[in-house]
Amino acid sequence: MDSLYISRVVIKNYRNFKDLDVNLQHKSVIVGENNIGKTNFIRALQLILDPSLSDEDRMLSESDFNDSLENPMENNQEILIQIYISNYRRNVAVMTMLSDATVLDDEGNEALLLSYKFFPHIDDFGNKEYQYEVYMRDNMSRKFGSRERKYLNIKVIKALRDVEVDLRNSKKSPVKKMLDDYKISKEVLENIASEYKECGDRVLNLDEINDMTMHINERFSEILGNHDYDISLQAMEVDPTRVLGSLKMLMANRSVSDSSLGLDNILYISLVLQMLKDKTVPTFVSGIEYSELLTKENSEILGECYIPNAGGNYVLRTDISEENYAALYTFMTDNGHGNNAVTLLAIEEPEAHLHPVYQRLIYKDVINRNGFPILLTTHSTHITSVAPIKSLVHLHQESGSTVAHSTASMPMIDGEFLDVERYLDVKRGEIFLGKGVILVEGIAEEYIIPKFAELIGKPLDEKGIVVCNINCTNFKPYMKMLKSLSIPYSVITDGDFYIENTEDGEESTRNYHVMEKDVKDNDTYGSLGMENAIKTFEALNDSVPENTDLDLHFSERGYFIGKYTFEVDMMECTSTEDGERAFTDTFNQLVESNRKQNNFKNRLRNQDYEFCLRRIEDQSVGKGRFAQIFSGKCVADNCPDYVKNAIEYIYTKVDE
Amino acid sequence: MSTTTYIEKLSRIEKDEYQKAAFESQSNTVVLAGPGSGKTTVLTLKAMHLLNSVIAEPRGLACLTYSREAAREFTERLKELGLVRGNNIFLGTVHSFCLTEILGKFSDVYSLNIPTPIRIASEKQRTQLFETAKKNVECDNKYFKIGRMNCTRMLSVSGVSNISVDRDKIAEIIADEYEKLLNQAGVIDYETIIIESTKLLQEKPYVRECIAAKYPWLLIDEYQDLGRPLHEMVLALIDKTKIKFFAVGDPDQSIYGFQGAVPDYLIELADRPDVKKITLLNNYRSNQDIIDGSELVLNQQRGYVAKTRENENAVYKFIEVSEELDDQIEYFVKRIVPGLVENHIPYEEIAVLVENNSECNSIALRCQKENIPYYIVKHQFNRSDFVKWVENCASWIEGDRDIVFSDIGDFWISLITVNGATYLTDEEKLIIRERLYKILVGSKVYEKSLTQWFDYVRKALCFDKYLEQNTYFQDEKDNIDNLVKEMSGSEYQEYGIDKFSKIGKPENQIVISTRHSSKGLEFEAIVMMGMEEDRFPRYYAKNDSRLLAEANRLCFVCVSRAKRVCVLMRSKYYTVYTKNGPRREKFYPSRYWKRLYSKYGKDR
Repeated sequence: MDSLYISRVVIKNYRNFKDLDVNLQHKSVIVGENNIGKTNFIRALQLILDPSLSDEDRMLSESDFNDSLENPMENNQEILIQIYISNYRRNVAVMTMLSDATVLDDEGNEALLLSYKFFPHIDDFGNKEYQYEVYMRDNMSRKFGSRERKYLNIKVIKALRDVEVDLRNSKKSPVKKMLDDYKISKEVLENIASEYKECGDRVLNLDEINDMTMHINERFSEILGNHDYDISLQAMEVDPTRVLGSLKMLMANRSVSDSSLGLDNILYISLVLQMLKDKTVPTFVSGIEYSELLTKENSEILGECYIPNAGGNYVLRTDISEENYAALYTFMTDNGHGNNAVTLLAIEEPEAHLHPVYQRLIYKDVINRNGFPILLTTHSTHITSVAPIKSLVHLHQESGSTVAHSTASMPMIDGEFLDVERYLDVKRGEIFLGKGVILVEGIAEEYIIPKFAELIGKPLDEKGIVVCNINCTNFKPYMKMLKSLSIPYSVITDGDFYIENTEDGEESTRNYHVMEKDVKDNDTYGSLGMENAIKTFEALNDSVPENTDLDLHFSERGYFIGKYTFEVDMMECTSTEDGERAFTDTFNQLVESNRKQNNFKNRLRNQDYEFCLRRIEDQSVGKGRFAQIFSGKCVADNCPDYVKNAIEYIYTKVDE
Repeated sequence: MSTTTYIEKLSRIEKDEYQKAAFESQSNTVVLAGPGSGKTTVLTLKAMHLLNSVIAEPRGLACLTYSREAAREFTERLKELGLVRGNNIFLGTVHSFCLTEILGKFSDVYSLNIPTPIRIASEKQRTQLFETAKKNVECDNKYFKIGRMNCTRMLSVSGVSNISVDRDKIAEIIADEYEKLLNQAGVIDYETIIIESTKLLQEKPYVRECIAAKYPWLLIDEYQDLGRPLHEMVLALIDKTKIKFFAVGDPDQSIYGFQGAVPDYLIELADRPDVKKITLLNNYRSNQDIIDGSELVLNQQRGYVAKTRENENAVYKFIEVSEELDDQIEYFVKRIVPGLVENHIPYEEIAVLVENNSECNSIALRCQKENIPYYIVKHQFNRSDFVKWVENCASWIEGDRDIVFSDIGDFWISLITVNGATYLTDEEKLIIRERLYKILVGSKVYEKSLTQWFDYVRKALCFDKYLEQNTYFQDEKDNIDNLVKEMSGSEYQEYGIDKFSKIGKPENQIVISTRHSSKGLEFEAIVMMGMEEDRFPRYYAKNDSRLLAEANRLCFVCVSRAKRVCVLMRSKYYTVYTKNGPRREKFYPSRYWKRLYSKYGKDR
């Protein structure tokens, strides 16, 4: 049962953003380089939704205008931020307070629009003063103020956070807020406080303590010169209203301040998540309230869902069916429990101080499992590798200001991205964090291409270009995803040259392990790689027009196709002795038999590349190991043209 | 103080088994409230109870009444009971509910058939367009009035109700043309507000959800007067949302059939299987004889029981005079009024009920000559929200502690900004409030003369300008002209502004009213003139069972106004105007006279 969420954000002229318009999801992960505006993006949302911001905080100034505007305030420029909220119809409190903000979105569904505007107001006498308003829809008189924020707001967990201090601070601590929700009766606390006092008094009555106190008082009053200030000891908190506040949190029996930063981080986030949880269905109901609820209509559902405990109170069962839960939710809403605020959560860099394992856990099990909307900013490949594709938002620069692209608005067929998601592990999670991506189909390319780039004078790391091995030839979903995130890419793929084998009366088969020189007259030949390319582009709605130069067409689009297979193409383009030695040295390192080594070298010289490839693919060698070692030995001569072009292409693209 | 009033009133409800049942009901309820049964008390206490114990913030409730005056009275009562007005409590007429909560909010979200932004046609414009519509469809019947067309428009609202209505084909044709003209002129009228709101509620689940979220309970007063569209709205809401309603009304007091309000809707609602029907049988106003008499003229048994004035006998008088209404009036001022006064009945406990306004005026003139202080219920001006606001200004200046300046300021700002359509910064609003404050305080110098004072504030605050530009106050300019005319009437010459709120309320005066306008009032003694058959009930009603039933109800309402004394008057001869000229005709006692006479007449 997903709750409401921010479905679209529009920002105009605010800080990094000149004109940003991006669709978001229930859970969104925002990636981008440092300084691109991730924090400012969240700040824009806070201007509207954060109840902890003061009026002064909301009053912007000239420096908040986007840099591309000259003398913005002289020229009466405005800053506008708009947030669209969707999926809120189930939330009664939000419907009650915010239905004035109703608009229809692009698909004709109802959404709520909340706006912030910083603008010049010119009065009847021509005096100009800049003001701000937070309001609903386009009606500045219908304000969105503190009363409304009680029911819909945002909480931001900042990147530089001092978890320890926040946990200790009894006013801000999420623990305190959660305790308040239980509404523990005053009498109970008073009883406990008086018992505390009794216990405390026992310590205070020890003779040793009395002795010490007496001496302290003597000394103190001696110095003061009078007996006006009596020194005494207090054992424990005896004020009933502060009993709860004096509770300390321990982790594994140790004080939280003594435990690790990382674990503290996780603890804090878990506490906040628990605090913000939708409490429409309480997990704990006091005996008194339970009997009251029993008198209402349809209260039979209570018996199905709650079990009594020893103290005469009731606890929610853990094994409730979805049907029953929904019925219970409705029952609670109808009887005064559903009027809770919705808090949207924004966490900056949840990975701070966390080991990669915990980074993944904190996303998968903590954040992903909860029902309410979360916005994350991250630099972590661990998180991007486990986040669903649809939740990614990529911030990057375009003509001097920051724009956002998201996969949320990408049209997708079910299951289309299963491939992608399955193959996204940590390394491939980098795909979202780089400035450019080279998509390749095998491990050999993964090892060798970065080295080639270095050798031709275009090192990839410097430009933030990442090589991503998808382990198959289904490039389409990756290309689609990268395009929608506006991340530049190039594709390097095998040509897979073949000659068709037509025998009379039988279906034609293709013979792949051949080379162009093997083509005889009347033979039909082709390139599987080219054919796949045509299909791929057609599926991406970019069909190849008739009579085009295919190579040119694809390379203009960043798609580079070899002739044969990667290893063979490398062998074929090698023309120098150094280049040849790179191959033989590698092979010799992996195969001990002299005979085999010589065989390899001879065949290589004779251009019998398919044979050499078979030797490499042999069990005792393997393409991966070969590539790994080859990458340490290869030279620029080994680099086929199509690879060179691909690298140059992506290099140029990233510079744009 | 207010909590004790609440508790006090609660304990009174406990003593009346029917009121108690209504108060305690937790589900959809229809309360059939006979005359004098304390329905307003039940309604207000129910509202308080819901707000205090059942409905959790930020949700509220909506309370719909028939008239603005009723809405105001309701608000007053709730304040007395200690209600602190929260943000999500709606107390007002059905029109204003539709305008602010339905049409006003959603007319520019969904594309509707009406022109936006919403502009309401003034009365002049409506009449004009109506006449044009009639001409366009070639209807030259000058007796065909706008009211008949509007009645048909309201009745044509379709939905789930099973009550069928006779179709008025000509009216429908004119209505179509009229609505087209309204649209072309870029305006809407009050009926459009209701009709389009009903459609919106029926067609858009989202709109229903918004209403249900804000108002989990709907309280409705005088349901029998509210007509078909409201009924369809209520049905749409109860069938498709979780809203619960508490509707109060009396089918026997449905007397606005000519406006399309028939008792069938309330009965249809009450008879639904998912609705609890409770009848308040106790009457706290009249003695049993009066109650029985009212049931006699209604021609139905109801079983109402007098809970006050037990063992008291009613005084029924049957007076026959000779010629025309004039003789009745003569007898009234010369014999009846003095007689009642002798019996220690104060002026304001005496009411005389007649058929129409001109008859009221005739009586008024006669009273004037005899120096009998009188007050006519039907007025020239409409006590609109704006007029009420000016009254509040006057009261505030006079130091009335119950009026708060910020409320006065809020209304004024809302008027100037056309309910927020124009944007003003907080500072600008402050400046406007300051100016209002200064002018009102300064106007105190005119406090001795109501007309002078009103004239001053009208000019200083530019009423006319702001009223003209605010579409929701279209007719207000004409209304205040009428108000000024009335204020300059002779009886108000000596009035200072402290008496402003008294314009329109009787003070030690006998009450002259049409039968219709007497609804809701009560007097120690009522005098009913014109009780002749064929005049009351009208001759054309006698062949139409619906019209006849409504006439019965009208008489029921009249008789039940009385606490103790009921005087019926009739004339033997009237001049009747026919095609062939005037003729002197003989008239016989009305059936109502006969029924009451048979039980309470002199020779009993």
